[in-house]
Amino acid sequence: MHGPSGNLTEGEIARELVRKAQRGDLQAFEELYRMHVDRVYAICFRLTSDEERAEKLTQDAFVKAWEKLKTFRWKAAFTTWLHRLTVNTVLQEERAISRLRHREISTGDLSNVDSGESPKPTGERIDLERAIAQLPERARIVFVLHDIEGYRHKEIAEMMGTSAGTSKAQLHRARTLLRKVLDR
Amino acid sequence: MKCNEIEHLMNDYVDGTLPEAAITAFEDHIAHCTACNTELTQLRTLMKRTEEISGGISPRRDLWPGIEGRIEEKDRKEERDSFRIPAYRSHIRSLVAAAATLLIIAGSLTIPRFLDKGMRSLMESELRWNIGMITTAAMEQHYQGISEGLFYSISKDLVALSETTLAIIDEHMQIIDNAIEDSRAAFMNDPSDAELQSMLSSAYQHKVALLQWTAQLITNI
Repeated sequence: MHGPSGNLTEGEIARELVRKAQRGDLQAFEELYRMHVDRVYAICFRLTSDEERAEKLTQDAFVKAWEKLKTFRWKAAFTTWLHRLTVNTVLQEERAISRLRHREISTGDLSNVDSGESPKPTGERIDLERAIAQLPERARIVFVLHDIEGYRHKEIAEMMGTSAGTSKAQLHRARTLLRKVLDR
Repeated sequence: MKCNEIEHLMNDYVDGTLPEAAITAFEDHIAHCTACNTELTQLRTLMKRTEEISGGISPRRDLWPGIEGRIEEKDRKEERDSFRIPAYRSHIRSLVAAAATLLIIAGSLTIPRFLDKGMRSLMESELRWNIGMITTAAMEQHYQGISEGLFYSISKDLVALSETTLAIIDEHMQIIDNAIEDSRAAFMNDPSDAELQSMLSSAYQHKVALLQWTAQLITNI
């Protein structure tokens, strides 16, 4: 940590780093990156189920955060702002990709959950991560945003350009599919 | 309540969003229905396990060098742009005097008739070039003034817009700025081309329109 940080709390250190980064201090921004990268990457990875894309999107999110940092006004916590920006970065790309694909992913079940790579000797945590990764795209996004990231249906609907009712329906679908898989 | 109704209410129940009036009926059913009870237990288990994975995941490699590289590249580009635009403006200013002289010649003497055809054509084309530069510089100053004024007036209120809206505005602004940049580059290659001048002007009009629309959006919140 650069500068006198001996008596500062973690929150105060983070605030100081944000202020420095807002003034153009790239070193302070690197420290913010180190503090937040795991959570940002986790959001990108869980929303895309693709390590390579998640890495690229994590970089996109931090570059965007650097560019928009001057407009950050502390109306929300920096973490909340950064996570929201990350989700929007991913969803923006998802929308662009969907437009290119011109197709709707409509997988109805998770019957293929055990196909693909040979199963590794993993714990419950990895089983759940794998099951989430194989959910239909929109159900997965809603599940990650609602149950993992803690967004409300209204917020999810706004971010995804859909209705709160659709978000609820997708969550219901995701939970039902996951329950079935995890109960096997 | 029937089992299929319970299934639809189960998410609201565990999320704490089930209306008070429905809770008793829901709990009564669960207490007497083994199948629904099992489903509720499964759902609670899923939510507990989801809570456990709600942490961070470390990426396979350090992503910072890529981020730093992109930030530095953008900074360099901005520096280049900020250098290029004032240079262009100062070039325009120096041309104003020269072109004014030419305009006087054009106005009072037309183009001297004793000059041969080649020389006259060259002077006419130079005159068109200079007039194009002067009028475009004035047009750019006009639109830049309006854009900067609009941006200044809405900048502090931009946070009121959602991230999605901001991202869309940002994306559109990027496209318009690129169009301005491209039109300007094309125009600089041939300042006598009125069509290129019109394209540049049109790109600026789009920028002003987008800023006005954003201001309207903020007002409506």
